[in-house]
Amino acid sequence: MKKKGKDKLFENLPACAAEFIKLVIKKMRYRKKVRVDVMAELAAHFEDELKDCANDQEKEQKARKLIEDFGDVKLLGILLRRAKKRCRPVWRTVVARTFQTIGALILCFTLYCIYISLGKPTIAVNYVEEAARLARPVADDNLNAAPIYQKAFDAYKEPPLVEYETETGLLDVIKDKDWVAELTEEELALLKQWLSDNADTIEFFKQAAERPYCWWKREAKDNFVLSVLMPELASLRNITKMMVWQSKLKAHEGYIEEAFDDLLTCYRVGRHLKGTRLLVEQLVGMAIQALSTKNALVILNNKEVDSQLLKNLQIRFEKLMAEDTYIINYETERFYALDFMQRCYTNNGRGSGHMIPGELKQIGGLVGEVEVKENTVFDYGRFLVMSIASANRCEMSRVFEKIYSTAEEWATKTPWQLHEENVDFEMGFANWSFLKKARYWPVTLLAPSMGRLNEIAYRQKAQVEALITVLAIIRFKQSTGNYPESLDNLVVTGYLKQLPMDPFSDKPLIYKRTEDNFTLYSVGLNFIDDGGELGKNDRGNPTDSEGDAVFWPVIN
Amino acid sequence: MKFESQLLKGVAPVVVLEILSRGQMYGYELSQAIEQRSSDVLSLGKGTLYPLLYNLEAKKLIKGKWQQADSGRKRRYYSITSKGKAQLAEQKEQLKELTAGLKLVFGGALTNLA
Repeated sequence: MKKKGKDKLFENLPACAAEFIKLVIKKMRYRKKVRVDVMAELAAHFEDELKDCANDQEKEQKARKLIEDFGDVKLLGILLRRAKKRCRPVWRTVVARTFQTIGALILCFTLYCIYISLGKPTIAVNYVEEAARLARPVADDNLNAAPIYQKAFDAYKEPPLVEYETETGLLDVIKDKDWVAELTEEELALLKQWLSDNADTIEFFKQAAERPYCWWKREAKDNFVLSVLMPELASLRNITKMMVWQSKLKAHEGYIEEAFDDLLTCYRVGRHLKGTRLLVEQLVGMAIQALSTKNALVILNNKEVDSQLLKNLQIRFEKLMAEDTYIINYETERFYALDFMQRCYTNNGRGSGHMIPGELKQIGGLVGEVEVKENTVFDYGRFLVMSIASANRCEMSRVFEKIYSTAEEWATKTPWQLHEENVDFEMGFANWSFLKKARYWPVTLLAPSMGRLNEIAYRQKAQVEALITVLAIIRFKQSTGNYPESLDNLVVTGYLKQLPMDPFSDKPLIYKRTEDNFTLYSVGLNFIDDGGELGKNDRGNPTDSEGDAVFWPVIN
Repeated sequence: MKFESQLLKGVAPVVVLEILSRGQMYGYELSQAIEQRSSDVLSLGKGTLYPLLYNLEAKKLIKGKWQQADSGRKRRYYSITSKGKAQLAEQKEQLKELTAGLKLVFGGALTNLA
């Protein structure tokens, strides 16, 4: 009520009565409209009681008596509030209760947010060191290839620019060309110059590849595995591409043995990246080996190679294959999850704990498409929601443990075996409810794509087996004048130690004689024999998800 | 004579409903009416009156409405509702039975006490 209205209400009342009424109303602590109503009613009561008083003194006395009759101010205020509360309509009670509940929930939520925001991680294990320890064999430092690779990287000169405006390098221009004869004169000249400029690099690269082991000193921001720097991977890939072109150039010029030496070097380099290492390293290792074997087939397709050299190559590849592994190793990869959990969750000492929103900025680059800026309210809000939604550390550990143990089990099985078992590579994630996905969101971030990795690893194995088989078939042809009738022929006649197995059918690779050539292929990712036809997508471009993986004849 | 407050508390709502059943009144009038009609035997404390009125209003036994009084000032008049009338009838019946019961228990003693 406005002051003027209040004054008018109390104009005929003694000060003590006005004071009393105001005090009661104050103690009532209820809605303003109701309080105004009650105040008017009480004022009216006093006014009626005092209307017959002859003078102010009598009014004052009577008012005091009435005040006494009204009793305790606080109690009266409470009784009036309670009674008036009962008067309010149901809808108003519902609204009031709803707001009270919302308020209570907001309060609880705020307190919970503060609680989880104040969490601190316990960094107990340096997983960067652990990863380096696992990658390092018990071997003398002079058996380590890494320092020599480093010399190669330091000596490496980038491919020359072909298109200066777009800064396109030679490798980009010739990436779709398979054979030296497809290069233009200018490209060939630039290639030769580039190889010449990198003579030292190539020499160091060869020396490094000869070493049995390779381990690197790892650096990572705050020793976080997710921040491990692996600059060597890009360099190794670039130098391998250069080596492959050198190999093809040598083969083109007639230096077949040297050409294959270069490819064998590349294969050994790939081997340096496999084993107990992060997946990204293993994948680059397999990609390097795939380049080596694929281009060995390209050379065989384009050049006549004498029988003795073929035999020699076959033996060397067989030996390399026997020493190599084609099973994906998840031992180090699981450090991603373990380090993520030790850094982004609290540890209550019993294996459990909650996610800490402030720590999620460490994996900011991996969360969503939005670039994470340091300490923005938006990012913190996002991380807070993610933390609240997340399952606790114990539950998350269990899920990651299940993922990695399953991945290790699947890694030992061929794609065909997994296909036959009808395994769900997503481990049911696709069928998870939205809430469950939100609770276990780090799984979608960190869990490896197990099915795809398995396919890549076994396809690499099949490619090496195919190369060895092609070498044996050509040798057979050179000796007998004809291609063998079947792969069994090669085994029986001693050209091949054993039948090359197709991991996508668990049967031998498919070999067919054609009019003046032969076909050797795997049934590929669709597990169906498409008669040696390469898969093509809707646009007619080659795709590995359909059709067969044809090793011979070599098709660009 | 003033009643023990707890004793009065039980009958106060019935008394208010009874008074209001005879016509609408505002708070002051009501307290005066109770005292006059009970020859000062029943006197509702003012601190009890208004909470009681609001409680009866919450139960929809009476309803309040601001109106111009004879004095020309606005007063909140309370009148009994049909629900209040039904409640009053029921409680009056109970009171009758209570009185009869009390008479039986005390017999002549009730008059002898005086």
